[in-house]
Amino acid sequence: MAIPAKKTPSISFYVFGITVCLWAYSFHVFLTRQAPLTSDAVSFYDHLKFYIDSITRGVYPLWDPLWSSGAPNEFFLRRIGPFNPFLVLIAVPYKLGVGFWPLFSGFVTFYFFLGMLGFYRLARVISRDEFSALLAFVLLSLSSLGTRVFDSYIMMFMTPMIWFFYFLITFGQAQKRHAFLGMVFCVMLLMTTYIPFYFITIVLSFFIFFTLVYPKQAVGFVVALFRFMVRNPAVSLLSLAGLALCCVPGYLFFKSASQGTFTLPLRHFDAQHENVLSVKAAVTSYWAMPEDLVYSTFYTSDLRLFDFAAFYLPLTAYILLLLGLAARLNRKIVLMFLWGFFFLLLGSPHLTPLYQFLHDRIFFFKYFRNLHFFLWLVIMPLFVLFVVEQLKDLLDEAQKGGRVKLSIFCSALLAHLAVAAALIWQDSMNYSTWIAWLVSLAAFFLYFWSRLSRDMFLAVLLFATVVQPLEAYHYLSKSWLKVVEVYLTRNALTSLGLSEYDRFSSKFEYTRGEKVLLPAARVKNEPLYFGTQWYTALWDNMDANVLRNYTHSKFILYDRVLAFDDQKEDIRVIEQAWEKGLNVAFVPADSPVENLEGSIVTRGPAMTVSGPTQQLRVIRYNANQVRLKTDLSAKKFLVFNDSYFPGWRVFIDGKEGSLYRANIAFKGVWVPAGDHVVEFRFGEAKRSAIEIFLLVFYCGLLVLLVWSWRKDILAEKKWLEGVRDV
Amino acid sequence: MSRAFIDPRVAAFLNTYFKRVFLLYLLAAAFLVWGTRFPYAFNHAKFTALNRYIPKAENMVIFKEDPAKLTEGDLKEFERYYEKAALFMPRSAEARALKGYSYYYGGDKVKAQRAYSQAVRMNPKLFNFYYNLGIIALDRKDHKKAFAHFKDSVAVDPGVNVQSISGSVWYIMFLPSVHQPQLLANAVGTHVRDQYRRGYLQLLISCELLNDHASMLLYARKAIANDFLNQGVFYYYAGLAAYQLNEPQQAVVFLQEAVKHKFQYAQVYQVLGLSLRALGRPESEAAFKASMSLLKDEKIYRPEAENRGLLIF
Repeated sequence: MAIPAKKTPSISFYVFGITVCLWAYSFHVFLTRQAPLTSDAVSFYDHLKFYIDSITRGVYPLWDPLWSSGAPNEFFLRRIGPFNPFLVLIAVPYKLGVGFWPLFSGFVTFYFFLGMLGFYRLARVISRDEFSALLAFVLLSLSSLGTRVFDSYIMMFMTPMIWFFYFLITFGQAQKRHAFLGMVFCVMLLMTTYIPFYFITIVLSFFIFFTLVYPKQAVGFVVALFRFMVRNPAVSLLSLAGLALCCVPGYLFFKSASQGTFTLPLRHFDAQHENVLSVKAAVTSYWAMPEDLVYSTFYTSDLRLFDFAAFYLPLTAYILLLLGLAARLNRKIVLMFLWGFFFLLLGSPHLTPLYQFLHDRIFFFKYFRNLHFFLWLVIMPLFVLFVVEQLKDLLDEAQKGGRVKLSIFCSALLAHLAVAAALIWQDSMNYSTWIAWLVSLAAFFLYFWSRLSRDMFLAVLLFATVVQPLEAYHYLSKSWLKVVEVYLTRNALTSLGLSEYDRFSSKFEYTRGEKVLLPAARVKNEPLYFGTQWYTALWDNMDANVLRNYTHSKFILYDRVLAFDDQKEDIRVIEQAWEKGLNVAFVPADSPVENLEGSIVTRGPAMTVSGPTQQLRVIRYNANQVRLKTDLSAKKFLVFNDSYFPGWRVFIDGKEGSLYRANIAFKGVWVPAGDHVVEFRFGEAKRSAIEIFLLVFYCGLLVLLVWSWRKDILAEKKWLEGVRDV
Repeated sequence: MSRAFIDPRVAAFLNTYFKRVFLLYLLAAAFLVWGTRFPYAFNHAKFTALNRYIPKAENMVIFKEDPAKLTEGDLKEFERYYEKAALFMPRSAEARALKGYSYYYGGDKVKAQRAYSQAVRMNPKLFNFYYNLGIIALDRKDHKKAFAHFKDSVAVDPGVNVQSISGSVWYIMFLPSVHQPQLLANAVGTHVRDQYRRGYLQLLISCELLNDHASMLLYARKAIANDFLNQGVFYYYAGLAAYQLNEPQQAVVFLQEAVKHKFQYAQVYQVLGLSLRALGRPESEAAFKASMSLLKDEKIYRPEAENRGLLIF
C-alpha cells in the first residue's frame, strides 16, 4: 500500500484560500458581468442556459429553435456535456428562482477550481511532496488557463481529464474501488463532452510513452486492473455498462453526421471525407501550436497588452525551467518530457509530418480542428508538473549540503540571470515582472543560505508567482471594460446582452427579433457555422436580406403549393416569390402528388402570422414541441419557418399527418378549415428516455464514487491506526 | 568475473554530472536546430499570427496618407503591429522602417530614428529611409545630419528604388492596382518621382540652413536636370546660390526662369534685384518694387512649410 504524502493542512488551506480569492479578484469584472464573455464562452453560456432552461421544465432539448432557424441540438449539447451531474448545481437553484448569471459564474469558477484541485492532487501523487503540489496548483491556477473560463469551454473537458489522470495514477498505486469508479466516471464524462478524440489521443499516447519508460509497471498495471475486475465483478459490470452507454449519444451523433442532414461548412470546408464532422488536414494545420505560441508572445511580451487566448505562465515557471537544467534525470521527468515532446511534434504540422501521417491512417484524426488545444490540455499542465518535479529534485539534492548545495545555488543564480537577460532583450518594463524576479532570487538566496525554512521558502516563492499574473489580469480586465464602453457608445447593447437564450422563455415568440437588414441590394451571407443541409443551401445561395425578411415571421399560411425540384430548378424562383410576397409555398417535387394543390385560386397575399390570432395561436411550446390551435375559414398550407429535419413529425388533432419540407428548408403541413390542434414534435420517446436514463445513471455513478471514496478513506484511516497501534 | 565496461570512477563522474535534465534540453535544442531547415513552418506561424494583429482596415489609408489624423489608440495599434512584424521578420528593413514611421507619429522620435537607422543598414537602396532620417534630423535641428541624409536619399538609384518598393509586401499592400502590373509600375513610378522632388527640396533647404551655397547650386542644377514638376523652386535656389557665390549673371538667368515657372515670391524678386544691381542693370528697381508689393501681400516663400513634419511612407 502506498504511504500517503505528508500533510500540512494549514499551509494548504491558506494557499487554496488565497489563490481562489486572488483569482476571483483578478476576474471579478467578468464574474460580475461588468465585462463581457467572449469567443466560444458566449456560445457555451448560450447553450448551457438553453439546456438548463429546458431541463428545469422537464424537457431534454433535442432541438434548438434559435440556432440557424432551428437545428438539431446534439452538437451543442456535446460542448457542455449534458450528462454532467455537476450541472445540478445550476439547475436546482435556477428552478428555485436564482438568476442564471450568478449561477453560471459560480459554476464556472467552481468547475475551474475543481479541476485545479484535481491537479493539486495529481501533482501530489506524482511528486509525493506537498510543497511541489501546492506550487503546481498555484502555477496552473494563475496561468492563462484561468482566462479560458471566459473565452472558451475548454474547462468542461480539462477538469474531468485532470481527474482521470489522478484516478489512473492512484489506481496504479493502490487498486481502490473509488479510483476505478473515478476513472470510469471521468471517461464517461469525457465521452459525452465535445469531441472525445482529444482525450483518446492524450490517453493512448500516455499509455504508449508510459509503457516505453515504465515497461514493468505498465504490465503490472494491466494485471492489477484485470485482477481488480475479477475481484469486483459488480463494480466492473456496472462500469462496463456505463462505458458502453456513454458511447451511445456519440455514436448516434456520428452516424447522423455521416448522413449529411446537417452541415458544418466552416469546419467541413473542402474536406474529402463525407462525414460533416471531418476536417481537411490543411484547415487543422492552419492554426496549430506554433501559431498559437507566436500569437501569444505578442500579448505576453508586454503585460499591458495582455489578452485572451495568450499562452501564459507566471515568470516563476520559466525560472524553474532554466534552473531545472541541473536537475537529475529520472523516469518521471523523461516520461513527461517525451510525452510533451510528442504533442509538440503533433501540434506542429508544418514542421513534422506526424499529424499528416496520423490524419491519413487513424480515422479519428480527421475530426480534429484545433490542434492548439493540446497546448492547453497537455503542454501547459505538463510544463508545470515538469518544472516542479525538477525543483523538488534539486531541493532534495541540496540537502546533501556542501559543494552540491553551492552548485545548485549557482544554477539558480544563472537561471535568474538568463531570465533577466531575456526580459531586457524583450524590453519588458512591467514592474510586477521585475518584482517577481527579485523576490524569486531573494527566496533562493535566503533558502540556500539557510535563512528560510522550506515552508517560508514556499511562501516567498508563491508570492513571486502570484504577483505577475495579478498585473496581467488587471490589464486584461481594464481593456475588456473598455470593450464594454465601445459597445455602449455604439449603442449595440444586444451584443453585450450576450445571449439569444436570455430571451428564451415559455412565452412563444412569433417573430425573430427586430428586422435588421443589411445595406446593400444583394448581400451574401457569411458562411454558416452549423445548420441543416437545406437551410445551409438557402443561406449560401439566397440574398441575405430576402432570407432575413422571410424568416422574420415563424408562421405563414398559404393557399397554394407548387412542386419544386431542388436538383434542377433555380433557387432564385423561390427568392423572387418571397420578394413579391406571392401566396404560394414550394414543396419538393417528389412529394405525394395528391397533396399538391396548385389549382386552388389564391385569395390575396400569403397570411403572415406575427402574433397570436383567432386563426392561429401557440398553446404549448418547448424545445422539442410546438402545439398550435387553428381556426381557419378554408384549408391552408401552414409553413412553420423552423428548419425541416428528419425526426420531426406533425399531428393534427392527435393523428399523425404528412409533414412536408416546405420552401426548401422549413416545415409545412396542410391544415383543414375549422377548429384544430396542430402539433409539431421532434424526437422519439425512446431517444428522450435514453438521454434521461443516462442523466440519472451519471448522477448515480457520481454518488457511488463519492460513497466508495469515503469508504476507502475510512478504511485507510483504520489501517493507519492499526499500524500505529502495532 | 566480468570486467566493468568503463572505469567506475568515470561512471560515477558521468552519473553525477551528466545524468541531468540538460540532456533533454539538448535534445530539444537539436530538434529546434533541425527545424530551422524548414523555414516555411516558422514563417507560416509568424505570418498567420501576424495577420491576427493587422490594424483596422479603415485606418490603413489614413496611416499612409496622414497619420496625424489617427487617434493615439489607433497609432498604438500600428506601433504594436510593426513592432511585431520587425520582431518576426528580423531581416525585413521595410518592417523596421514602418515601425519607425509609427513611432514618429506616436511621438517617439528617438525610437523612430533608431528604427530608420537600422533599416538603412539593412537595405541602403530605399530612398525614403534616408529621407525620413533627414526629416527627423531637421526636427531635432541637426542640420548637418539632415543634409547628409538628404544627400544620401537623392543619391539612391531611382530604378532600384522603384524595384524595391514594387517588390516589398509592406508597401505593395498600400499601393493601388496590385493586380495590374503595368498600373502598379506607373503608380510606383509617379510616387517615387514625387518623393525625389521632395528629397531635392529638403536637401536645398538644409544647404540654405548650413549656408553651403556651392552644394546648393550643385543640387539645384541636378534637380533642374531631373525635370520635376513645379521646377520654379529649384531655379530659385539655383539663383540664390549663384548670387551668394558672386555669379550674378547666372543668378539672373535662374531667377528669371523661376518667375517664368510661376514661382513668384518676394524673395525671388529681391534676389533678382540684388543680382541685377550687382550687374549694374536698371531693371533692378522694378524687381525691388515687385518684391515690396509681394511682401505687402505676404507672398513670401517659407521653406519650413515644405517640411510639415511629414515622413514619406
